[in-house]
Amino acid sequence: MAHITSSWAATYCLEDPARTADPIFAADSSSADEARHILTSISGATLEADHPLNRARRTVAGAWSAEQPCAAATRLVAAHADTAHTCAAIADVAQRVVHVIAAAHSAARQAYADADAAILAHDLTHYRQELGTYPGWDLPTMVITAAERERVDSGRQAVIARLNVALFATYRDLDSGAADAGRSLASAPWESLPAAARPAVGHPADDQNQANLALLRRDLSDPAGPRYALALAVDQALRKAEAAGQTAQLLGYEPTDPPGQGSVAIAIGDVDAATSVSVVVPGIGNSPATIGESIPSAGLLNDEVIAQAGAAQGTSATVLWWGYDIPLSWPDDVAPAPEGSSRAHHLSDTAMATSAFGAVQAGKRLTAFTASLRRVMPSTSRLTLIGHSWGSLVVSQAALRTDRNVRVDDVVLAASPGVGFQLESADDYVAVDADHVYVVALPKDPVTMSLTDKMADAPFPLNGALRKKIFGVDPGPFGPDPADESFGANVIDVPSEQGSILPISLSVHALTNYLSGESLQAIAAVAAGNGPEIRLRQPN
Amino acid sequence: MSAALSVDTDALEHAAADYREAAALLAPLARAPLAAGLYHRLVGGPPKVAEVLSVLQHRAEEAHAVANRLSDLGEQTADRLIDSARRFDEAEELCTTGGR
Repeated sequence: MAHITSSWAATYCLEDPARTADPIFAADSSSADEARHILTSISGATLEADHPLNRARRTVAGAWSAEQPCAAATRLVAAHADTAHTCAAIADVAQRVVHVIAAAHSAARQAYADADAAILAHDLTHYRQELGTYPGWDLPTMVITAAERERVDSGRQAVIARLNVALFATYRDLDSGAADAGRSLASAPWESLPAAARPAVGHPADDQNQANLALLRRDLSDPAGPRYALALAVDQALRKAEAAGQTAQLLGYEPTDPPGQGSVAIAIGDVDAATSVSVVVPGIGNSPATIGESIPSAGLLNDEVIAQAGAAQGTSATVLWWGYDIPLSWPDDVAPAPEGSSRAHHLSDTAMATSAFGAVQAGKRLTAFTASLRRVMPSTSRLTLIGHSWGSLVVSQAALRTDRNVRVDDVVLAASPGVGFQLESADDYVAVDADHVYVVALPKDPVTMSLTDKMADAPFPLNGALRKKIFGVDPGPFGPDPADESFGANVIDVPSEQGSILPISLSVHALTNYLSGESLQAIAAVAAGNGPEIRLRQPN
Repeated sequence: MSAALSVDTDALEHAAADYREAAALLAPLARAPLAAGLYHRLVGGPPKVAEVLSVLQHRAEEAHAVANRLSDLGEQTADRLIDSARRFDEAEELCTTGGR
C-alpha cells in the first residue's frame, strides 16, 4: 500500500505499517464467498430432495417386502440429510471468514483514516518554514527551525507508532479469526456419506478434466472472443495426444491468468489411476499456446516410468504444468493481452528471464497447484516435481514452500541455472529431504555453467551489488548451482543424447534432450521410485 | 427354497420417478463446472487466512463432488428399480405361463 507513512517509516527507521497492512488487504474474501454460495446451494438442493426421497423410501418399503431395498432407500435419505447439514455448517464457517476479512479490511482502512486525520490535525505533511535571512546577505529566505523539525518528526513518529499498533491488532484478530474458522473445517462433506457412496471412489481428476473441458468448449464456441486463440491451441494439443493414443486430462485452464499468457496444465495419462505422477515445469521461451509441442516428451517419460516401475506396478501420468508467468513467453503468447503497453509487458517478460526474482511468485503458484494435485491423486501414488531450465528455479522455490503433508516424493532439477534465492543447500527444502533432490546437468549445456550467470548480469551491472545488499552475499543472478557439490543434492551422472563437437551447445539444453536417452532413463527412475539405484556423479 | 416375496412393480416405477426427481434437483449444481478448479485462486493474506481460504475452496469442491455422486446415485437407483420391476414382471409372466 502506497501511503506517506511508509516513506516516513523508512526515514525514521521504523516498522513500515504497510508490511502489516499489505497482507491484511491481500486477504480476499471472494473465494470464501464463492465457496459459501456453492455450499449453500448444495445444502438447499439436498434438503429439497428429502421430500421425493422419503416418498420413494415409503413406496419401496410398501412395494418390496425384502429388507435390503428399504434399507438402501433409508441410507440414501440419510446421506442427503447429512450432506445438507455438513454443507450448511461449512457455509456458515465461510460466512464467518467473509465477515472476519471484511472487518479486518474495515479496521485497517480506519487505522489509515485515523492516521490521515492526525497528520492533518497536527499539520505534519510539511515542515513549516519561517522567514529568516541568508547569512552574509541581507536577503529574506525561508528557514525551518530546529523546534519545527522536532515537532514534525516526533509527530510523524507518533502517528506511525499508533498506526502500527492498530494494524498489529487488526492482523492478530484476522489471524485468530481465521484459525478459529479453520478448526471448524476439519470434517469433509463426503465423510457424511456411506463408504460405498463416497466420491473418493470416483474420478476426481477426470471430474476436473470435464469441468475444464466445459470451459474450453465455451471459449471455442466464440471465434471472435479474446480467449479463442488459446482455447484452439489447447484443443489442438489435446487432439495431438488423442491421435497418439494417449489419455489426456485438462487439469488446468486459465486463459486470463497470468494476463497475456494464460496458464494450462495437461496430464498425459490418467491421474486418477496413476501410481506415479510427475509434474514437468518448463523454462523460458515456452508458452501455454505451444504446450502441444511437449506432449511427445510427456508420453516418453510415462512409458519409461512404467517400464522402470514394472507394468504390474501400475501406470504413470505426466502433468505438463505451464502454469506460471513464464519468462520470454510473449513471442508465442495468444492469450488476452494485459492492460497497458505491450512493449512494457514484453520488456518485463524478457527481463524476468535474467534473474531468479520472479521464481518466488512462480514457486508459490506451483505450491498451490501441487497441493491441489495431491488432493485428487490416489493417496498412495508417488509425486515427483521436475523442473527444466528456469522451471528448475520454480520447482526449487516451490520445494522451499510446500508442506511435508503434501507428500512430494522427489524433486528433479534439470538443466538448472540455479535454485533461486533464500536457500543455500538442499537441506533447506521443506517439501523433501536433501537425499530426494536430484540434479541433471548435461555436459556442454551452457545454461548450467557460470557463463550464463555472467551473460544474465551483463545488461544489469548493478544487480550483483543489489543482491549483496538484499541477501548479505551475492548468490548470483539465479542463486546457488544445484550441481555444485556444496549444495548437497544427488547429481546424476549421465551423458547427453545430443552430441556436439563444440565445448558448449544450446541444443544440449533442450527439454527434448533432457527427456531422451540416459537422461530420460534417470529422470524416469526417480519418478518410479528407483532413485537410490541411479549412478551419481562422484565428488571431485 | 420357498420365499414369501411380494413386489408391486407399478409402485417401484413410481419410486423410480421420485428418485429421478431428487437427482434432478441436484443435477444443475452437480453438472455445472467449478471455475478454475485445480487452478485454485491464489489466496493471499496472512498464512492462517490463506490456509483457511484454501481449505474452504477444497471443501466446496468436495461438496460439488458429493452433489455429483448423490445425483448419480439417485439416477442409478431409479434405473435399478425400473430394471428390477421389469425382471419381476418377466418372472411373473414366466411363472404364469409355466414356461410355455
